[in-house]
Formats: sequence, C-alpha cells, structure tokens
Amino acid sequence: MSDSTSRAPASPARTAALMALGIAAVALLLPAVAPHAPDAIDLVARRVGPSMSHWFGTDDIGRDVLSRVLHGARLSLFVGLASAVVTLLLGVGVGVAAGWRGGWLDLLLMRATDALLSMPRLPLLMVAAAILEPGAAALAVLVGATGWMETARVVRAEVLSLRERSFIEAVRASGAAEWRILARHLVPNAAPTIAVAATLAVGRGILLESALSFFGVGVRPPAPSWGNMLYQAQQSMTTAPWVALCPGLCIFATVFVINAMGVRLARSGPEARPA
Amino acid sequence: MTSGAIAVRRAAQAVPLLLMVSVIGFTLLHLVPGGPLDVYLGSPNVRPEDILRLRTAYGLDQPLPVQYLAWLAAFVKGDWGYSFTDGRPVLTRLLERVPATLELMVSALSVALVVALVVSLWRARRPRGAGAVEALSVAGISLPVFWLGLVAQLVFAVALRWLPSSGRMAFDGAGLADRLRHLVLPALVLATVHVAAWTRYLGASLDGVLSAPWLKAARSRGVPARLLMRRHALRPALLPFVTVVLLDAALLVSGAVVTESVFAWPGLGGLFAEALARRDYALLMAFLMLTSGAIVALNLLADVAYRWIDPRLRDA
Repeated sequence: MSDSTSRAPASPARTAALMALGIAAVALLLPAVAPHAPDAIDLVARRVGPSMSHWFGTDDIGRDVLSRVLHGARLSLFVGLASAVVTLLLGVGVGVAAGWRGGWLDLLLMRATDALLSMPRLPLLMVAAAILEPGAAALAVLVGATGWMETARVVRAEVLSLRERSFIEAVRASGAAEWRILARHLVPNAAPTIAVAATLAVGRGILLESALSFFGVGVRPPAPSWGNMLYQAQQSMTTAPWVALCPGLCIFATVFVINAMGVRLARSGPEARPA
Repeated sequence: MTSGAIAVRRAAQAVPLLLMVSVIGFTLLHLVPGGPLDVYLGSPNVRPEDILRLRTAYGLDQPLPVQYLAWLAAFVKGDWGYSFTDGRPVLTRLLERVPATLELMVSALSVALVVALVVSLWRARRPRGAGAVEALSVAGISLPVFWLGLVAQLVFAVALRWLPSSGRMAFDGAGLADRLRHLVLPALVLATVHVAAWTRYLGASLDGVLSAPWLKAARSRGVPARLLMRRHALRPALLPFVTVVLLDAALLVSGAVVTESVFAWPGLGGLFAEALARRDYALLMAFLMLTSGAIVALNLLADVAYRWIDPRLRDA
C-alpha cells in the first residue's frame, strides 16, 4: 500500500466498474452454494454451535447461519451498490451543474450542499426508515439521497479545473454542442475522481444498511440481510455468540476490501501522478 | 471582518438549515398512516369519539402547514411538547440525558485524539510502519460500530469478565472506579472510527509538512530531530486538523446513537433509539432539532477556531 509509485496506474474508473460487477456476480452466485435454505427451520437444532452440518452454527429457531449469511449478501450488497448509484447520479449531476455553469447556480447548489452536509444523517435516516418502512430499493434511494454531498463537492472541484484546460477550450471552439462537451469530454475526464467517490460510497452504503437493519428499521425480516441478522442475534449474544460473529465479520471484510480499493484508486488518481 | 462579525454571520446562516431540518422532520413524522393517534385506533379501551376529541384538542384536524407553524411557535418559546411514553416534557427528558452523553463523547474524543497523535508521530518517523498503519486505519473506518460493540461486550464482559457489559454505573451513587469501569468499553468503541480517520488525516498532513522546503532548511540548520518534529512539523500539521476534529465531534453527537444503545448508556442516543422503537414523535422531533443544533454550533466553532489559531487569517 505504501509503494504506489511503482505500480502502473490502471484506469480507476474501469477498476471500479469491474469491482462493482464482481460484487454483483458474487451476490447473485453465493445463494447457490448455500448448504441449506435460508428460512429452513430445524427446531431440534436450535442455537447449535458450529459443526460439520452447520459450519457457522444455527440461530434461535434453528436456521443455518452460513446459509443465511450467503443469502443475506444479496440484499446487503444490493443496498450498497444501488445507494452508490443514487449517490453518483445526484453527486455528479449537482457537481457538474455547479462547476460548469458557475454563477448563481453554483452558489445556490453549493449552499444547499453545505446545508445538507450538516444534517444529522444517521438519526434522520433512522426516523425516515422507521416511518416509511421502505423495501430494499427504497432504502437504497434513501441512503443514496442523503449521501451525495461529498461527491458533489469533489466533482465540482474537478470540473472547475477541467473547465479551464485547453482541450475543453478546443472542443468548444470546434463548435460542439454543450451536452456533447459534458458527456464526451468533461465527465470522462473526471472519471478517476468519480470512481474513488463511488467506491467509498458503496462501503458506506453497506455500513449504513447494516446499522439501520440492526435497529430494526432497515431490511425487514424474514428476508436475511447482514444487518438484520445482527438485530436478531442480539437476544442470544451470550448463549449463541456465533450468530452475531458471522454476519458482522462479513460486513467488516466486505467494506474493508472495498475501502482498500478506494484508497488505492485515490493513490493512482491524477493528483497523485506526476504531471 | 472581525471574527465576531463572522460568527454572527455564520450563526444567521444556520437559521435556514435548522428550519429545513424541522420541515423535513415534521413532514416525515406526519406521513405516518393515521397520524400520531394511530396507536389508539385498534385499542378497545378508546372510543372513536374520544379519538375525534383528541384530534381536535391536539390540532391534528388542521392542515399540515398550520400545524407546523403552531409547532414552530411553541418550539421557539421552549415548549417542546410532551413525551408519549411517560407524559413528561420532552425538554426535561432530553436535558437529563445530556451529562451522560457529554461524559461519553469527551472521553471518546480525548482517547481518539491522544491515540491518533501518538500513532501519526510514530509513523512519521518510521516510514516502514506506514503500510501497517494504513491497513489498520482502513480497517478502522470499515468496522460496523454496533458489531464492534457487541464483540467487545462478548470478549471483555462475558468471556473475560474484566469489565461490565452495559450501563453507566452499578447503582446510583457508585464510586468513581465503578463509573470508569463502565465507561471504558463504550468510550473505546466510540473512539475507534475516529482514531482510524484522524490517523489517516494527520499522517497525510504531516507528510505534506515534512517535505516542505522550510522544514529542510530547519533540518540543515541543525535543529534536533525531536524539536523539528514537535515544533516545526506538528504545529502547522495540526492547523487543519483542529477543524477536522471539531467537525467530527459534530458527527459524534449523532454517532453516539449506535454506541449508546449497544451499551445501554443512559445518554441522548440511547433515548433516541428508545423513542424510535416506541414511535415517540415529539421526542424524535426534539432529538433531530437538538442534534442539528449541536452540529451547527460545532461547525461554527470550527470556523471561528480556525481563524483564531492561524494568525494569517485573523485579520483576513
């Protein structure tokens, strides 16, 4: 992680896109290798510790923890990815609009961004999720819609500097339509910055989903997600600790890998590269 | 512009923000199907005409904007409504929880500050340790806090029996030692994320300063390494860090929700989780306003502190 200079900087945007595809593929394939059905109840084998038939043990009502974790990956990762998409759409939209147009629009959008940044995100999300009782998709929208502000700021900064570069001037002089300049020249050149923001947003989305579900307001049971498994595991912490250990480790490992990718992408970004 | 004038201007800018939070919160809480009286609808002990009477008494038959203005007028006057669950004023319930939350926050912040400082200074002198510190700090920001709390309880309270698993003291009026023992786990868990984030930030900041030309000049003048680090490198690196710490302290106000409910810490965050579970709307609304107020105040403080610390900005 320290010797970033020795590595050839791969295209961060492509790396991030590949990673997103990888996560989606894993999430879709994992349930196939689950040894049991995620909701199969075995009342004889309740709170059984890890064994050969139940690698990660069973929960309160005898459901196989490993199978639930594998199935839960789908919802947790979906919320993480989908919320990052919402964050990107809003963040890039606002950032490009503010940076490209400038003037009063910039002032207005950035004021709004600053204001939204100082809202208590977690409590607000918890209240919203408790009252609206969203499904997984709506939950992702809620998480994404409250987290686009940092992305908007970095994208705006990037657009402000790109705007003044000579290649943009050249494109403009050649008479290209404004949308074309934005879509073909400006946004692709801001892609490394956007990729870093997106990567970190996926990690944060997964963490927020798990926190909301942990409080019982995120993904509702019986559908398993890593967060709501922990919510249910709370009651049997002392008698069946394995029920809580497993999903938590999954969250941690997944978010760690994603964040490490984000940090590395940031290192190989344009500002880290010698000009 | 003097810092006083700037403070006043920033405070004025905070008013629309607080209004916005109140509108969002108010609208959300009134989106509940059936409204706040919904809980009584299914109850056999409450007659329909009583519900109608309550609806008129609480002004719930009025249009939403009218209700909002009534709420706002009362809120500004300090009348924050009554808690559904025990009928006491919301403001009283919130204020009695403030000391516990402050105790936890200040301890967590102090621990995080000390650890982040020590680790980044150690790392700045030993580039070989950079990889490990980096990996650990990425791990720290990737931890689900509530899970870390559960694991800490499991290890240190259940398995090792070193520390109590929850609460603020064993009984009312317990001694200092008992209170400290209760404080250790929640404070450490709350501090972890910030240690990780701050170590990263301070490390980058120190690296920037250490490669500055004037630091090379100081080194070539023969300034001893210890002094070089402490006086010449740390001070400028701490400048932006102060702002980061104050802004993060604002996040801590709402982040404490998770830690406090895992450890049954009798603070504001725990009260919020409780209110959420019982749909205590007046309490939820007041908590949202209080946390946004705290965030605004800390942002303001960060702004003023930054100008005060950096002499170059004082008269700018």
